[in-house]
Amino acid sequence: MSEPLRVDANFEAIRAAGPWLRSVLEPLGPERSDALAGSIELAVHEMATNSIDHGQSSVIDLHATLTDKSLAIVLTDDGDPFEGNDSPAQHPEEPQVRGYGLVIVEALTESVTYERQTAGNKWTMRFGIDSHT
Amino acid sequence: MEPISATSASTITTVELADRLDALEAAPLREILAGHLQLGQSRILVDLSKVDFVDSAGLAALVKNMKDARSNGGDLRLVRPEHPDAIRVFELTRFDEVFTMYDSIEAGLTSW
Repeated sequence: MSEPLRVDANFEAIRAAGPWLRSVLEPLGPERSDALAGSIELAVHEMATNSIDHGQSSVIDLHATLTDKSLAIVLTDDGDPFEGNDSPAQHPEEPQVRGYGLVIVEALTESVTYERQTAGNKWTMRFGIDSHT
Repeated sequence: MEPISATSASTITTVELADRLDALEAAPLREILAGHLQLGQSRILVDLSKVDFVDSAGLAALVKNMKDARSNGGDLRLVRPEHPDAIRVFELTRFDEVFTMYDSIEAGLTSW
């Protein structure tokens, strides 16, 4: 278990997730860490952006658990409940402007689960680190 | 966001960006691009070659102005990001099939 990260729920503060993820992945060595970090950062960044944009959170916590084969990132916030997947259908000929966050997260993870807690939200994203290149 | 530079030549306006195009930078970029459209500059080439991270909010700023440019008879086209963490969001959402992308500013200016 790596040290957790707590940030204010704003777009500038959430940039700390990138360097934090690289420290989480450090045990894998620089080559694998570099190969994995970008796509995992995008997923975490999209989830955090949803928390800020739609959940009106004030604080976001990130916890990571790294094993030989997988990385689990748990994002918790104090925001409003998630109210369903409003992801757009992907029709490039009719481009939509927003709503791709969860589509991107689902594409980048092995699984993503949601739990509503007493005073916030909990998202668990699992990444199969063997399958990332 | 301050673009590295924005120049108009041969009725094509070029906007060069660097570093991150994420939720923090999306709003100022949207305003910069909308400003060009309000001036009647509806052919805009955005250079993403020096950008190293794009998220869906950054993508949305480009898509919004691409749609507005096209509805004004122009287009918003891109110089392809070189960094894999910048092109990834386009591929995941298939917007790499929607935008016209070039390998360089020169290619965009000569091929448009």
